[in-house]
Amino acid sequence: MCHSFTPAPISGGEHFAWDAAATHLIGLTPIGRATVVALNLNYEVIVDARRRWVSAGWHPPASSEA
Amino acid sequence: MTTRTVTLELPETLYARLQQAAQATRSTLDQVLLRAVQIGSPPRWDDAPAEFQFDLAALDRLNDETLWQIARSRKTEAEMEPYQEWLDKNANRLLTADERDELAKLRVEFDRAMLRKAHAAALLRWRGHPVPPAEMLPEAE
Repeated sequence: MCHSFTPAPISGGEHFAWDAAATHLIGLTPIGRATVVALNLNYEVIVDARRRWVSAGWHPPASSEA
Repeated sequence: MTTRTVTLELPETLYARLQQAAQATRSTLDQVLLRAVQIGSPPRWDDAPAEFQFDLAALDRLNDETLWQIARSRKTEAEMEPYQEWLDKNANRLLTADERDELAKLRVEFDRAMLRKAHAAALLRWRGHPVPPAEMLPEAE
């Protein structure tokens, strides 16, 4: 079992969406917005990584609900 | 900003299209060419936090095989376990000041690994390689 450091699908599609660049997770509901803040889901390094995942074709994951 | 002058021979059709684009946008041909080169340049590294920029810039000089190894790299369960334990303890405010420092260092190293892997994949894509979905990449040997 390994940690791959690659994009993972986000569950809870009704609560989240990706912004146009697919680098920032947007909370659509109060629960979603609170979760984004509480878990710091858009911290600088993950946003930088997502930008590169988009360039590589790794993101957003096809199975992502967000 | 220092600049360099490059002489480039363009196919006539490409030159004509760029010239038309320059006229249509009321730009100079130099401006259009510069924009085309900027758009088509390798993934930038200067948008990352300063502490990781050196690691990412260094990837520009690596050959494809080495980049594939980085793109396939993973952290093992054994490497992840202490990190996860410390995260759990930190969530419950059970870490000492020294342990919090160690946790912060570990986080930086994990962030570095994640960014290097992502940047390697982006570079390979830019170099013209089809990059399979991340979950389908075989693990590095």
